[in-house]
Amino acid sequence: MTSPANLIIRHNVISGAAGGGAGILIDAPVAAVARHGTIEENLISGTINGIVVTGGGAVLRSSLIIQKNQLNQITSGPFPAAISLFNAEPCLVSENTIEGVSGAVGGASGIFGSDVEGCKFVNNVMSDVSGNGIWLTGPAGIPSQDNLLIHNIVRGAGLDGILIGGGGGGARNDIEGNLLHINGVGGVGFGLHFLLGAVGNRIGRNSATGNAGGPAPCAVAGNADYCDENGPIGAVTFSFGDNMMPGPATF
Amino acid sequence: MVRSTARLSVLLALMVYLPAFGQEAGSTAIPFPGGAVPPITITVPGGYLLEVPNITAPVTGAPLIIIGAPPAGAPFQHVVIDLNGYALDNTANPGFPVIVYPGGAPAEIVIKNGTIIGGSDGIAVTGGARPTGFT
Repeated sequence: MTSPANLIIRHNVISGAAGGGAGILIDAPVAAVARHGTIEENLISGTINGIVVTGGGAVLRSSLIIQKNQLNQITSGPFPAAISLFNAEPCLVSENTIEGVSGAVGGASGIFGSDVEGCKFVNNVMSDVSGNGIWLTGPAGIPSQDNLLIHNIVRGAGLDGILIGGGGGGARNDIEGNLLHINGVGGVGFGLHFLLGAVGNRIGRNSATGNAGGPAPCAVAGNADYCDENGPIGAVTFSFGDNMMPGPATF
Repeated sequence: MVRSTARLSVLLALMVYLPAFGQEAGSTAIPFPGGAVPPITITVPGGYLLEVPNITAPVTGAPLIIIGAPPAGAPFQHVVIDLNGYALDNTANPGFPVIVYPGGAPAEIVIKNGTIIGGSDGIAVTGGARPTGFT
């Protein structure tokens, strides 16, 4: 067993990191070394990327707490979001405030997770991100799975409020009690969107209204707030009810 | 009069000792004795406290603070940097982080209470390849 590197980064104001890195960059060696850490109560403004936790190997897992950070005026690239997580397991991403994320369309999300497993994304609030609010995906064959997305607010995202899938897809994530309003300001975007290959996810008690919708091959035609490219609710995505999204009563 | 003098003495004593209240026991002052010329490299495990109000790096082609590998024989790297509410500015070196730990594990690194400006990254814990592709 390899010993970890343990990190605490708290109570800092970080601005102007413009060299293509990040406000806070936690990178990991190619070797199987885990990074465990707490990143909390930092204010990150005007940087290229915000918080990036990444790893170089499939065997690496980083356990993380990222909470109560405030990120604003973030320009994404080369990482895709204000908070970008790769190979994180488990993690708690909570109560972060994200405002004003810009970058290439599709590449400037609020929170991005690739191959994250067993994480809670809870009580994060974000507005005016040019990509997706929260996007969970993974490399081919390695989905982001077994995560809980609960009580997040995404408002005014350029694309989808919450997007699950792409690449390795997303599996067995529970998405509950999120408020996903007025997303797709770029012209295309749903409140909640499952891409083809995202399977076994569950939803309930979400509110999604005023989203733009789009031409994606969705099972619920004419619904701008919810899109599941895998089929109708109950096929591979399951609802435990009380979603306030225009659509079939079974939501 | 005597009472007033005593009060003044107590007040002066507090003014002398209060700054130390925020300092962790055993912390080493940054800049190091002899002055700080960035990059400031920390290799010895322990606590460090920024004691000057703000450090702005000149063009050095380097990070402002480097947390280096521990001395030979030390079991691991353990460093606590308390920026004490002050600022570190590495705007002059946009290709380099402000604070960097490029080493491996095992390590315990704490960075807190500062304003961090410029650089390629504010705080970077590096040492490995980044994955590419995130579709």
